[in-house]
Parts: sequence; structure tokens; C-alpha cells
Amino acid sequence: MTDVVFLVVSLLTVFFAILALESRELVYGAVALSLSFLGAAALFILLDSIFIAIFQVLVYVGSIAILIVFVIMLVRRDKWANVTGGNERILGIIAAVLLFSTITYFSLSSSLTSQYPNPTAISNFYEIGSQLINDYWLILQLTGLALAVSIIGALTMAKFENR
Amino acid sequence: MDTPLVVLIVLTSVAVTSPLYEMVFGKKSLKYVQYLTTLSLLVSLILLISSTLSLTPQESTVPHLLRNDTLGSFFSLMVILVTLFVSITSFDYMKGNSNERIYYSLLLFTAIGMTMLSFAVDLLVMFVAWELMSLPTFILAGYNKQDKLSNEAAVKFFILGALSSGILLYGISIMFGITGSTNLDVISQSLTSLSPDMLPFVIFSTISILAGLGLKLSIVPFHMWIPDTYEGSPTTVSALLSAATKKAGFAAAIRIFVVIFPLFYFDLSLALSIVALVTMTLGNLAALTQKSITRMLAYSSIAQAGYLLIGIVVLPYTDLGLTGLLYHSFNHAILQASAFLAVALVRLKTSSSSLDSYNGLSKIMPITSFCLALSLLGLAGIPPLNGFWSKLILFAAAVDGGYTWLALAGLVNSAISVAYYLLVIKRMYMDETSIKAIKEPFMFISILVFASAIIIVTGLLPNVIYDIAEDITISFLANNPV
Amino acid sequence: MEPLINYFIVSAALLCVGIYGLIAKRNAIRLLFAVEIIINAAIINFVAFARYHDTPLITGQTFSLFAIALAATEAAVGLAIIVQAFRLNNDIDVLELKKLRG
Repeated sequence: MTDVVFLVVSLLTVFFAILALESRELVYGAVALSLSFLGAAALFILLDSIFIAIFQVLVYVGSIAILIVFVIMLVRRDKWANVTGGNERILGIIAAVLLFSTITYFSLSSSLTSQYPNPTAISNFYEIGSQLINDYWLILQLTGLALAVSIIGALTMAKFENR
Repeated sequence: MDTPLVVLIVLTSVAVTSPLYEMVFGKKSLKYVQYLTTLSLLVSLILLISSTLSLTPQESTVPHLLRNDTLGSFFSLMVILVTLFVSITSFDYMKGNSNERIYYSLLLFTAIGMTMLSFAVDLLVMFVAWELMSLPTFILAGYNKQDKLSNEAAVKFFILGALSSGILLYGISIMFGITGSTNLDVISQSLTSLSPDMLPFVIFSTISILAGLGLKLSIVPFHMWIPDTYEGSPTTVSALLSAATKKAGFAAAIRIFVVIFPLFYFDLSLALSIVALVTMTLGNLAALTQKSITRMLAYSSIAQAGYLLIGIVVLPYTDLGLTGLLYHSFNHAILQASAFLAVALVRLKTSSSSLDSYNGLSKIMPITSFCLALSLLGLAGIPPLNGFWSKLILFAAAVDGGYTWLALAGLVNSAISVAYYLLVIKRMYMDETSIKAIKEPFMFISILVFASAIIIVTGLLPNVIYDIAEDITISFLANNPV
Repeated sequence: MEPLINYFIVSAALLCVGIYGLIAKRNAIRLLFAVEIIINAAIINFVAFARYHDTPLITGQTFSLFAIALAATEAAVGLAIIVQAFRLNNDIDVLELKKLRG
């Protein structure tokens, strides 16, 4: 039986995601996107993964969404070009609906419908940490390098040059 | 010796510290950055060559993440060689750019990402290395900040690259969900004991992963903005993108497909063969009508990706496919890099990429036009250059694997490609021009000549690379039966 | 508790929303929204599959940590490029960028 909370949270997540794309103003879209991310964090809490939920709020909502809002402030225009979007929109809707129905059809006829959660697979901070340090330390280093790249690259690209 | 980690340390130490030299050394720091970059790339290259030629699988410090095998070191060798070419030629090409020091740092980061991607046997490492490889290229594509074309290339490339990362991640997540692990060995084991109702998920995951990889491999229908990107970005960066990142993508694709193929090789192989056919044909036909040489080379590299895909198509049927793929990857990397770098020099000196500026180039810039002509002939597959042998092996592998029609299509496409390659050569050698001779910078020319020497030598002595490719194939397929 | 399929359908829905956005939208920042939605969907997949597996799996959660971090870096780089594009063109409508055609 479907949990009511799960239903509400998941519907809100998808709704805000659609709103983020379709809103008239970009800023409203950014706010809707953050709400969608918060919905995903709520899903993580429902999945007993509290650490990931906290991380999601901190990084996704706390930095990505804020960064997007800042950039939207920087790229202001008084009047955006009209969203004519007749053909592409219909194509997009058709593609999305088609894909979604295909996926749903195939997954409903599979064994995933009967799988239930494993009571021991709960977010265990100690285990996540030990996996990060013991098994996946190389990936941690590479992610650190990727972060360094993004700092160097974004600064280089966005810095102002008066030439 | 754990080659990937040593190479990682060598390249990282230079890449991370070079943005800081300006603070310490001031104006002279550029020379130091350039020297250190070249030195670290050379050291890595030597390490990788010795690792490839040793032809025995070596110990890896993190065997569940990186496999220190010859397949990885071979692909890694190719990409480091191309990065070395790009970085040396950028001494001249990027001179005067306001962010010159950062450029070399970003090049090294891309090299690190590509190396890790070649050695990775865990989907998580592949994804992180993929990001590490792609992020600097987004910035590099827009490096001429005041140039609108460069910026447009960066925007389009970024949107497509981010999309491909997202879809790749989604495919990996489904694969993780079905098999319970991201390590390719564990995945291959658990895929053999999979319940049949999970098959749609495997198919979906495969399509997603292929779609995600497809951008870097520039196969149809993910080639959308590739020509725009190659045309707008600085041409040395285009050389890096077309010659190096593509090969790293193929390395990852080989490892993944070797694991997925045993499940449904007939259908997957057939589907990939159609993709290969469309990619080849579209690339070659589109290249015929281009007026800008960078766009022409971009479409030609799309077509070459089609040829390379043949190697993956016949992977479950014959060993020759993998050998041909390895061999042609090496040759194509050298040829494509050499062609794009020659075009870069012409663009640097004449500020134009349209085909008209190539009229009579042989009288103005003789060495450059010779090197360009050589690489174009090699790409076309004219004997006795190296491109001929590797295409031969690929088409023979197609016939061996039962895909004779694909080999025929490849031959027809090669014939079509000769047309537009020869067109450029004709313009360079037979048409007239009124421009006076241009001085060709020494370092740039020496790289072009070196690349041409490799093209000629590996063409006259095809066994050198072919034997290496064959040994790698045998040892790789011994560990990963298909 | 609800079966695994529910979470999978949610993430599939988000994937489809993201793909719709990429096909139908012209504003570069909206395209970035769509990409972030897709990556978020993948991360939901990871955490859900990790929770529901037979044997205890923490790998999914660790993977999602890395994925979130990398999504952030990608967004940062992309936004920097978009800022520079806006400075040059005073517009971030991707379909208006037509100079590279032909």
C-alpha cells in the first residue's frame, strides 16, 4: 500500500520540477527548482538515508540553487524574447510522455513491484565514512581535483577583463 | 609499478600548482609553467610506453577501481601523446591569451581525467574521471573569451556535455540497481545470473550509457553540436577533443561493452552496426559540402568514429575487431591531431578557417601544407600510410564477424572521403595565391614534422603497432571473455 | 513501506521532465535546470536501489555523495560560461546563437 506521505512528496517533487521549467519568470523557476530539490531530500529521509538528505540540502539547495539565483540576477534583461515554442514544445511533450509510459509499462511487469526494503540497509555514517576512506579514497581525490578544476575554470571564464 | 597512480601524481602535482606560479615568479612564470607541463607529460609518456611494452598485467594498488593492464596504458599513451602535441603547439597558438597559464593547467587536468578513464574498471571511477575529463574542455572550448564564436561553442558544448553526463549517470544508476555493484567484474558475474524480467532494465541502462558516451564518441544521433564546437573553439582544443577525449571514451566503451555483450550480443551488435553505418555515412556526406576546414574535419572525425564503432560491433564475434579498434584508435589519434594542429597553424597565421585561404598554401607555408596533406591522406586510408592498414584490419574484422555489408559500406565511405580530402590537397598544391610566404614557428613545425614522421614510419612498418594491439587484445580478452 | 517500483517511477518521471526541458526550452539557464533535474533523478535512483537491495549496500549512498558534488561543479562551470555568453551577446537564448551555422 502506498504511503500518503510518499505520494504527496513525490508528486510535489515532480510538480515543482515541471514548474521550474515552465514558469514565466526565471527567478520563480529557480525557487521552484530548489523546492524540487527539497522534495528529493524528503524522499531521501523516507528512504532512511539521513546523511544523504542533509548533504542534498547543503549542496544542492544551499549552493547550486543559490548560485543559479545569483547568475539569474547577473543576466537580467528587461524583456526576454517571446517563448514562441510551438513545435518543440509539442515534440518535447510527446517524447517525454512516450518515454515515461514505456518505462512504466516495462517496470510494472517486473519483479521490482514486490521488492521491499532491507531493514539493515540504513544510512550509517560510520560505514559511509569508512567506505570513503578505505575503498574509495582514489575517487575522493579525483573528486577533489574536479572541484579544483571547477574553481579554476569558472574563475577564469567569469572574471572580468577590461580589454 | 602502479602506472596509473604514478602518472596521476606526476600530472596532478604540476596541474594543481601551476596556477600559483604567477604569484611567486611573476612574468617569468609562463616559461616555467610551459616547461613543467611538457616535462610532466613526457615523463608520463615514457612511463606509459614502458608499461605498454612490458605486455604483462601489473599490480594495481586499487584493483577494484583501476586495472593496470595494457589496454589502459595503450589508450592512456595515445591521449598523453596527443596532449603533449597540443601543449607544445599551444606555446605559439595561445600566445597573448590573457589566461595563458591556466590553459596548461586545464590541459593537464583533462589528461588526468582521460588517463583515469582508460584504466577504470569501476563505473563510479569512470563517471568521476569522465567529469574530470570534460569539465576543463568546456572551459577550454570557450577560451578565447572575447571571441563570440568561441563562447558559442562553449555554451553548446557545455549543454550537450552536461546532458550526456546526466544520462550516463542515470544509466549507471540503473545498472547499479540491477546488479548491486559498480565494479565491472561483479557486474559481469551478476548479469549472468539475472532473472529474465530484469532484461528491460538492462536494455534501458545500456541505451542510457551508450547515449551518455555517445557525445564524446560523436556517434549519430549525438553529434548535434560537435561541428559547431570544433569550429568555434581554439583549434588546438579541437585537436584535443577530436583526437584524445574520443579515444578515452572508446576505452571506457570497450570495457563496458565487454561486460554487457554476453547478455544479448546479437541484438546489441546489430543495433550498433546500424549506428555505425549511419555515423559513417552522415559524417562523410556532410563533409563534402563544407566550406570551412574545421567543420570539414569535424564531420570527418564523426565519420571516423563510425569506423571505430565497427570494432565494437564485431567484438563478440572475432578478436580482430578489438585489434583493429586499438590499431585504428592509435593511428586516428595521431592523424586527427596532426591535421587539426596544421589547421591551427594556418588559422593562427592567416586568421581564417575557410577553405579559400588554403589556395596555394604549399607556396606560402610549405612544411605545414606537407604535414596537412600527409595527415589527410592518412585519414583517407591511402597506402602506404598508417591509416590504410588500420582501416584494412577493421574492414577485415567486419567481414570476419559476419558483417560483410558493413565492410562494404566502410569501403564506399572511404572512397567518398577521399574526395573531400583530395579537394583540400588540390587547393593547397594546385591553386594560386597572392599572399607572400609566412614564417612557420619552429616549435609548432617540429611537432607537425614529428607527427608526420610517426605517420610515415607506422605506415611503412605496420607491424610495430599492430603486434602491440594484437598482444593487448589477447591479454585483455583472456581476462574478460566475451 | 512501498515497493521499490514507486521510487523508480518517480525518478523516471523526473528523467522525462528533464528530457522534455532539454528538447523544448531555449533559454540556457532553463536547459541547466533540466540537466540538474536529470542528475537529481539519477541520485534518487542510487539511494533507492541501495536501500532496497538484498544485501546491505552503502555503495549507493557513497556514490550519491560524489554525484551531488560533481553536479555542483558542473553547474558552476556552466554558469560561468553562461555569464560570459551574456556579456558578449546580451542574450542567453541558445537558439539565437546562430553564428556557427553554415
